[in-house]
Amino acid sequence: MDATPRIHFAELRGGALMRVTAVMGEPVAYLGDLMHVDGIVAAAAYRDLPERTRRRVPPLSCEWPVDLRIPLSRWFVSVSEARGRLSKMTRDGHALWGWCGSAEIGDPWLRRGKIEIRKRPPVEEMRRYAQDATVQLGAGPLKAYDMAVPTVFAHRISWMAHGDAGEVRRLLSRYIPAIGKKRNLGCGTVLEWVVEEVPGSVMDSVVAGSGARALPIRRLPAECGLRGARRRGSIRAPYHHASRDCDCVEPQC
Amino acid sequence: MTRQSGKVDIRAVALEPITHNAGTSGNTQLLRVQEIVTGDGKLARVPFISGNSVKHRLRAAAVRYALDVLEVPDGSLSKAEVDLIFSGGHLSKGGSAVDLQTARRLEELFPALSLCGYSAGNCMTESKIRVSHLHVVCEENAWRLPDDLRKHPAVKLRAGALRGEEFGTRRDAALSGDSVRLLTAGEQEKVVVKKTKKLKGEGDEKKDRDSLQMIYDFQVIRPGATFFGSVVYEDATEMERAALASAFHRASTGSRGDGLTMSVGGKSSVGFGSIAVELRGSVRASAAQYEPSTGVVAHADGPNREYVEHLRSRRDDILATIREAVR
Repeated sequence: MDATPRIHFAELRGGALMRVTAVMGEPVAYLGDLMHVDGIVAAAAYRDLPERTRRRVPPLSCEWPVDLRIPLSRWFVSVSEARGRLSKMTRDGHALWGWCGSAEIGDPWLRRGKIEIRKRPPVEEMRRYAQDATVQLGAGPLKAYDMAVPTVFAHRISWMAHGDAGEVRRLLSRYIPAIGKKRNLGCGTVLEWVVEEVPGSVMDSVVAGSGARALPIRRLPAECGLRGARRRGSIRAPYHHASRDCDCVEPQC
Repeated sequence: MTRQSGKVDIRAVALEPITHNAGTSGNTQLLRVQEIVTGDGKLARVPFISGNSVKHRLRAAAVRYALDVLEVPDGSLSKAEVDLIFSGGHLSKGGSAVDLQTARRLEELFPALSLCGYSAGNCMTESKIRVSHLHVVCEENAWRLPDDLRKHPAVKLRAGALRGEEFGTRRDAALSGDSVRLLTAGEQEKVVVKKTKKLKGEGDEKKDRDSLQMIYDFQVIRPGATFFGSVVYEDATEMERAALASAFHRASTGSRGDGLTMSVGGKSSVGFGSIAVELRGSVRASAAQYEPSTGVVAHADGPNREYVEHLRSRRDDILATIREAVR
């Protein structure tokens, strides 16, 4: 395989390479399957929209969630044929695109664990307020459960990105107090966001090394010409949505 | 409808031993612990009170307060409605068309529900509050202590020093003098034989297993331990903030100085889990900066009158919308 990356960029005006660091206060409820920083910035950008605009944005459960404008540069990878759903992910039918933000750099996780989330059915309250003779707790929608969610622990998690560092700092500090799943139950608390400009080019936000040693530091379309783990996955926010799936290469663990 | 983001910082001191357990070792219930790596790279296990447990208390308290104000009669709701308001409900439909109108009406009419998040129909509505775990002030947690606790004397203590052990006993009521007379003649005879054999040392170990007498022990967080945590709220409406204040108000068991007393963890019916809580409300000014505010902190005189008036005046609409949400 040719190791020269076949990636093009549309740099944000005045944009710069930056290192984004989350100083963590709690383990993150997360499988460790790549957490891209542009996904986090996109979540913050949504919350930054005026309330009236937010009400007009289709919910994430729709077939094709809109791409929010975020203060990052964009990368493009040309594909030979983009038909059907894949064509909607391209700029002009030929180039898949995404935001210039990496997955977490290296392997920052010091410890893997789990957190148990329990749901106790409100039987006492049902006894008082309902009239039903029985409630089925062993199965069905009212089942009591004790769900173990995998967690990873790190003191600091870092990402590389290219764009407006000041705006990224504002969005993250203002809107992202926690990352990962189960944030509302105390997981993934971020004590501080540190965003610092660093020397380098836009390429450094998606690729580490150069020439034959170039490796992706985020998930990129398989056509990018880089070596990495091949799989099918999402290439831009919202990452959990099936509409963003395509054949990819991603950093090898 | 003015929306506001902010947080309530929680500082608490255990007044009684606190049990919040997960798992057993032999006959002892173990404290729930979080495995962390300390600043010097060592693995540590620190006891904590999970955000899930604190959040459930707040949800249940907010809902109970609202139901009391609404004067909802016993036996008037369905199981699904009770599950929705007390436990957050469940998904019960497929399809990708989400009923946003019901979600908007629930937010407007029954803010306790939209505040804590819920699942109904085919849609999950995210909670607007983020309840942190309650962590103890100790050496292992020094790296994540809030600024005001960095010089707290308990920072010098290891987490192990905050762990204690308590025990309870349960007597076999059938063997006590007062209750033996309530037994049938045949059962009384058995008790007499059993006691006699025991006195002579001839007790049959296998047969004695039907005795209910037992001792049980469990780990606790010692009284005097200091806790820190927070409840962060995002884009909460005025009524949702009032619902949060009502949750703190309803969950409190009393007042102590300027603060409240509440109970956390298990065995609160037998004297465990009481904490003295100081709540510091603040609204988000810019980025991660907060300014003090008393808007969401519970006061002795209860939540604001507008909230109570809102619940009372729209009672029928509220109950109809809850019914609609689980249909």
